[in-house]
Amino acid sequence: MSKNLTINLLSGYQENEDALFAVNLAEAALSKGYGVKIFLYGNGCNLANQEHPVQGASHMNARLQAHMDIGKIGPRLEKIAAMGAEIATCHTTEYGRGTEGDAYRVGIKWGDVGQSFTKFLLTSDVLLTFGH
Amino acid sequence: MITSLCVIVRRPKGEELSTLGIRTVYATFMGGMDAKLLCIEDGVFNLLDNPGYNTEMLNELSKEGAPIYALTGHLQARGLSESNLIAGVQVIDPAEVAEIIEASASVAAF
Repeated sequence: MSKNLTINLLSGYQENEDALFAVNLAEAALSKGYGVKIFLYGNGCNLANQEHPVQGASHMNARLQAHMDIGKIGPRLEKIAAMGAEIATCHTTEYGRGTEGDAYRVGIKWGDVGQSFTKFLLTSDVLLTFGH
Repeated sequence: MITSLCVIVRRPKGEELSTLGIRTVYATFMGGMDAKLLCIEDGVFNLLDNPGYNTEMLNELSKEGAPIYALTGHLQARGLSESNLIAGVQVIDPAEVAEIIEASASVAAF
């Protein structure tokens, strides 16, 4: 029986490499047959929502855009959800950021600490928390 | 299945991480999990009897019997003692921290 990993991700886009590391780890674990659950908490909740690209010409040059794109791991969250990861976000931290009610990326669900995170723990063997 | 959790809070009131950590203990403990809170470094400032959401959660946790710990050396380094803290906080030494962590199925640091 495969083991399950819960990742509690406290960091969002760009601020550090935690989200990138978490997604890399999740992909590796899923590819080896482990179960993965990700709880997006604190700034991690910023990863949950669909993007709102600017219309018309971008005001970024290509080099800067390429640099920023390294940390935009939202599409990879959709990929690992399609691979079987359960991903939930904390609606309270979304509320605090004014994003509660925004559409979620495919495969990411509304959640909370008392229900979603606790359920993740009760169905996991290992908990890892990333963020600072 | 993870049924016990030790949450370590290192950040003080005013930083979101402290609220997220205390909130995690509150929600999981009230949901029936064996959850504990350990405040270290500047996280010990959360245990002062000041107004605010963090303190409200901590007082409710204390009344419900949730284990709340503070590391003695980190209190002393900040000029604090047990008498400055909300009721129900257990002041412990590093050896006891090791025992608490060993007894927990999972640990999360905020």
